[in-house]
Amino acid sequence: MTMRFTADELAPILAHHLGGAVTVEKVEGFPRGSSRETRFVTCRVEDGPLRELVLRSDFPAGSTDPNPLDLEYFVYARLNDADLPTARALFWEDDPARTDRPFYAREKIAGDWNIPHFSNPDPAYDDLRIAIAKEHISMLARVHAVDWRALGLGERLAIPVDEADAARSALRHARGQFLALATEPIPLLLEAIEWMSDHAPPAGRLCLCKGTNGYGEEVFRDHRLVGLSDWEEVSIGDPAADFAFMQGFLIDIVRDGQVIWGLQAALDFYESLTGLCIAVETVRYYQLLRSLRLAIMSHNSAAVLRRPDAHIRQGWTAAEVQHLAKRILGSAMGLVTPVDPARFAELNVSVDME
Amino acid sequence: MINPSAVQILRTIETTLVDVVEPAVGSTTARSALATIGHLLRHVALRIEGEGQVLADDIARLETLLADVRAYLEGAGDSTQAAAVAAGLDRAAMPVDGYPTLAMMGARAAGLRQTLQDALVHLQAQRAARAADAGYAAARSAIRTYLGEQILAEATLIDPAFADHGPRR
Repeated sequence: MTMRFTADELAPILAHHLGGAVTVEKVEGFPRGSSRETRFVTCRVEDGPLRELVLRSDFPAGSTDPNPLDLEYFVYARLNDADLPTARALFWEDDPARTDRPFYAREKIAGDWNIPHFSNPDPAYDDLRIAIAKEHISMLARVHAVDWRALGLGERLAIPVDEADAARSALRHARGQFLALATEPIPLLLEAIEWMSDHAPPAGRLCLCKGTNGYGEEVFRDHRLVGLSDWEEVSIGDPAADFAFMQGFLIDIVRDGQVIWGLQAALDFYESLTGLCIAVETVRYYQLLRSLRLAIMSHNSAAVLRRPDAHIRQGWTAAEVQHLAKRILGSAMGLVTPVDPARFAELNVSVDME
Repeated sequence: MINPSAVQILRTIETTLVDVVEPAVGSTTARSALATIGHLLRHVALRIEGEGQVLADDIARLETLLADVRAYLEGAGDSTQAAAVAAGLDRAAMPVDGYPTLAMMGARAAGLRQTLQDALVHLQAQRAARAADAGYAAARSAIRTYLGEQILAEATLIDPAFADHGPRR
């Protein structure tokens, strides 16, 4: 029987890992997120204080992300020892005697992905938007300074040969994952990988890259970033990659006819923190690589849809998201005309933002 | 003919979800699922009406393209790869009698595209050695043209269902 993560199911499992009888007060599904399931659990161990945990699992029919769930846990666990605001990893659970759906638990950091007024188009909130974006970029600078070798992250992550190999290393990883899925032939992806390999920029340095960033990906409290979240697309590579997927933090802000914030301003700010100059063109390149990753992830969703218990969101991912990712790749290669950027903004809107 | 049509039924389902079910739903998770369902219902309606023609066109383009690729491979002395393409063209042919289902057509198109993908892997491996080969450049160019056409055909089954129809999740 498929585990449904009810309070009754979770109580004995949490007791096993947390070292005492557990009372589960509440289990709440997190509505955002398209690749995996996230649940917030409020519980009490023995007579102790209420604790809040985050549980992450694949969808019942399988994950959207071809990177395995235990890689995400591995990264959180290794980052326990890094000087970064990340939730403490608690345990990995895949014992078939206790669950037929592997999951991991981490502590929940108090805060919210949502920032009041951030999406309010009133120019009065422009300063808030810029301050939040700078807060996030400052944190990314700390991520990029992490000694990933000392943390042993190379045990599970692909390591480029050198700075010149950064993008090609990511392409080899993507190609391997695509061909291993063997769901449906998509020759466009092979053509795109070859084209991107021809145009691969060298990295300024090799560093830990978080992968998915921006509004909706992190935990904020009182306008401070208190939890770097969502490490499922983590890699070792070019820091430019982290500017390629930064939802909502790089949008142009214009005042009196002057662009006072946007991608170039963000890169300038990053350079002021790190001394590293990243070219806009390099970020554009990694946005394309991100589209390749998206095509492979949504291709994986299509495989999951073979099961009737696939999540409805995986149906959307396999249809529209996969198509748009392919179209971005096709337009970069000059095969089709570009998609209207407004279409991409639509993809990040969820019902709880209305 | 059964009236209403499948597409009409799907549209009624979508309207009922929006007008009747959605107002009664309390949780964000359920509202999010309903939003996604609405998009996918429109997508399915488009596929009912248009996917047959899209697949028929795709199969025809792939058969023409693969015949050209096979001819190039034969001329270039890649007899093993040429034979593989020929086998791919022969494999999983459409049934000669009876109306083909979308699943049959989809399988035929996917089989041909697999043959194209395998040929492309071989051609990519030959790129440096055949940099001055005009036939090679023409074969690669023809493949890229097909890939662009395929994206545009797919767009006809995607864009009207999703674009400007609200949150996806």
